[in-house]
Amino acid sequence: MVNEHYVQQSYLRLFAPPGEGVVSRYSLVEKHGGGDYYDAKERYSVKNAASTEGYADELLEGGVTSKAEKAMVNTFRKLDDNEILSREDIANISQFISFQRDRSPSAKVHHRMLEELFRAVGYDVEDYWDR
Amino acid sequence: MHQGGNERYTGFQHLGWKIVENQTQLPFFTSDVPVFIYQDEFPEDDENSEGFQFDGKQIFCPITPDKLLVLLDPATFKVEPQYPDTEIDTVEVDDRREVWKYNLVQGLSAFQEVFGPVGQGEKLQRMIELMSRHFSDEDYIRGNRWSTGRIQRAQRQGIWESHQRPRRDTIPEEDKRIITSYKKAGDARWLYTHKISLIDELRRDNPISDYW
Repeated sequence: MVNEHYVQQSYLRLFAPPGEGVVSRYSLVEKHGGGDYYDAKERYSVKNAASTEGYADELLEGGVTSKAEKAMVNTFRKLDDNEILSREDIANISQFISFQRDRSPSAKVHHRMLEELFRAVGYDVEDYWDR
Repeated sequence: MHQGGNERYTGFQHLGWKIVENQTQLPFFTSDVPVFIYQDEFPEDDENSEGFQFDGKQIFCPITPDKLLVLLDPATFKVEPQYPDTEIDTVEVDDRREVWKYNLVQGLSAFQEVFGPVGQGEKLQRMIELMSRHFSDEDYIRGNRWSTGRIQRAQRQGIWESHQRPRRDTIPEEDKRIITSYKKAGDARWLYTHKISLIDELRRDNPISDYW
């Protein structure tokens, strides 16, 4: 299966040194054998970041998606360089917000009837207001 | 249908946009969920609503270690809609404490990973460790320990069980743990007040009630 990125690599490269595809990274959830969380990595390839195999039936790694993502990140580079933005650039930023919202793991998991489900497992959505 | 220019994705352009320019040595961080959507009150799960509800929304998106985009609801905050302008208002931040506040938002937003420029790993780790201690249970920050596929399976199974056998004890224990843990990780944002000065300064005393 293809390793699919739910955050595009080109976006994460904006946080990497020029010409390098590495960022620092900390996993909130990965533990080693001793039961402790792994320490942060100071250099972590964006190829392995924010991705999982078979996430969206290869839709996120396709040619059309890549082309759109390239345009979005080019706009971010213009923004970072304080260049004048066009209407197309504004649309690209808006598209990025929309894309990321729709492809996030939470968006993938979330669906209707969750409130009913949480009650079924004994977690009342209003619980914490009463604490 | 193809639409050109900023006729595409106009929805978010009806919010007020601000670029926050980081003047400090502490970079903006990001995460595996870089677009963080927030509102002050716990959102109602309205079965009849369709599409994205803009009312009261605050959206944060780091662009680079030095720039971050904020989108705000003009009904709740003193901002002008971005559409149809192409110039984005810029505000500078020169206080590290404020930059930390924006970074903490990414800690809340993250599904499983946070990122920063090379050499910032120790700060990322310290941020998450501090946030985990802030809550009564670390699941509020570290609750997404399973893959999206496994979480979905647990949810589907739980919904099926709750319909077929509406008693709590029919849902497998591991599925219960997954469902509850995922829920806590999502709820953390509603238990947290970010106190970002820019947002507080722009908040209207009297929100416009019939704006949308």
